[in-house]
Amino acid sequence: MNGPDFSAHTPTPEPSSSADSGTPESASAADSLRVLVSCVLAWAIPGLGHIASGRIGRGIVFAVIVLSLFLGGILLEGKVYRPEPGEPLTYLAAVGAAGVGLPYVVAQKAGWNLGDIRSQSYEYGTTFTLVAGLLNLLIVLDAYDVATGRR
Amino acid sequence: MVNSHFLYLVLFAAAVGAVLGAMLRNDVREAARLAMWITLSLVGTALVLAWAMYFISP
Repeated sequence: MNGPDFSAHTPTPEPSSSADSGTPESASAADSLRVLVSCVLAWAIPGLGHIASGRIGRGIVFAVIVLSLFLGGILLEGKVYRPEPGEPLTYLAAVGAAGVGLPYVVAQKAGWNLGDIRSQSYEYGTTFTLVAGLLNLLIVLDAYDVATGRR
Repeated sequence: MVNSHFLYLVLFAAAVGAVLGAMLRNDVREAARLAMWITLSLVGTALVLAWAMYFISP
């Protein structure tokens, strides 16, 4: 009686080594990078983090509203806060306004940040630009939740 | 440019409501409902406070 015929069986491949891309460690690093990129994109351009994570409709809503709020604030001749030496609260306000991302940088560089204090809509415009930044900071946190799968 | 305090109030409330509604609800209808609720609450609260300040002002 012949023994079992192993010649027809091809040897199963050995499990891949830790240097390959399919290990839990490398997958975790890739996930962390993806989450980080999503958050950075969400800060830089409002809504872009959600669009990058596949939530296109939500991202577009965020983009339209936050950018409209920021641009509306500038058109209302409001100020875009920047840190002013000797005025400690402006540092806090600047952090909030800078939450809107690259539009904040553009506004500062283009000189749209000064506003006109004599304008009737100055306070409203300033509030609009500040709240646009604060809302985008919330959106960044939401983009983190979306990227990590909590939402 | 129309300088209306109430218009700016409504626009601001609508923007905040829309962002929070889209963020806190996954269903479009639920998001719109929450956004409307937040907007009306903000406008209503502002009106109540405005009238309160009117009556307590000297």
